Amino acid sequence: MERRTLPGRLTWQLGEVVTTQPETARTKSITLIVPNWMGHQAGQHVDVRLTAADGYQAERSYSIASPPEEAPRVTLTVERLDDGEVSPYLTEELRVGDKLELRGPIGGYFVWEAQMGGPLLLVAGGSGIVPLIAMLRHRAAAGGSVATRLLDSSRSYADIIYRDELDRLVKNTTMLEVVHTLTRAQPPGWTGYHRRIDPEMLREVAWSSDQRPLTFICGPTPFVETAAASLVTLGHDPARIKTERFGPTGEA
Amino acid sequence: MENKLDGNAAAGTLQEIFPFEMTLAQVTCTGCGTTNVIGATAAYMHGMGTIVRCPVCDIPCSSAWCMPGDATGWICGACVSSRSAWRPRLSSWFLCLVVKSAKVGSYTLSVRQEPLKEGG
Repeated sequence: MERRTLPGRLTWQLGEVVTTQPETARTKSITLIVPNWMGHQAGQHVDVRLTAADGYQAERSYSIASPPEEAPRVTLTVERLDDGEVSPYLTEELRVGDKLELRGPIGGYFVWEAQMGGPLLLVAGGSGIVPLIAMLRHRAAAGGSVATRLLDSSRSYADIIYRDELDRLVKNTTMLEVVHTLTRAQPPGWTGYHRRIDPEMLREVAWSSDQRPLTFICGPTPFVETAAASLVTLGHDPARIKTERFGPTGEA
Repeated sequence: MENKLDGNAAAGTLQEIFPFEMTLAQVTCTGCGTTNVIGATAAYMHGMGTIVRCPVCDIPCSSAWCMPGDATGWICGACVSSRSAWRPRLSSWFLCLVVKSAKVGSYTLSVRQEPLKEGG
């Protein structure tokens, strides 16, 4: 490729894996050092490219889980999809010391910075928590106290990504509330929500519409559409609701 | 299978072509007049490429698939005009992206880029 490189245009670069950390049975965090990392905002993603011995390439997008404050370390949390081309490699084959080709940071729409204020409403479905934990980590690192609520939907208790860290963040920072719903299985004695998100749940958990929260919703497409439509029904301003859907194309 | 995502999902592909972050670029639908930033539109990811459609009227734009030869790049009824002779007939505002070619230089960009940082 002899294409001219323009400043600002994305280019591929190599990051080196420095740590890997299982988060749940299906998800793993991979921390890379990216020498020429230009910094990022919480909520942005990267594209990862794998090249096979025969030259075949597969490219996927992954949200950045780490806050800007940790650059040039960049952490991705990847959910393994059994029929995926890329995620099984990232979650099972990739080792510390390996190089990974990536480009980014990408996207300026689904981002939150502490000075954007709040109140902040974060709604996560499954691994949709990843860009939102970057926002919470950034919020904590910036010492901010923007009033924040997270509604986090997971299949089961064991499937809650960053569960311990969320507990710690609630204890150690102010003005943060985390509400879980477990849609498929609940541990004995679970008193929290145990159904998929719906307008009733959002009415109970979300800020009221007259508080004009800034809302970020990330999850599978049907989850995001239910959450966004529910909030609009509840009177929230669509212009303050930002969504990031993910779906099978990322891994089909 | 067609998979509906947000315009944000096309950000990497767009920034491969345009030398700046595109998801905050503002576009107006020629169909219904809705104005949005690209990040707030609907993106449909296919093996062939990515289509970004107006999230309000969402009119299918199958004519966009008739790309001649390997002429690839970015075509948009609203905000990008191509200097090439071939143009699809556009029934609505959409952005169609069939990725990766050096022909990118033959397209003219006329979108307005919004400031990267938004007020709260």
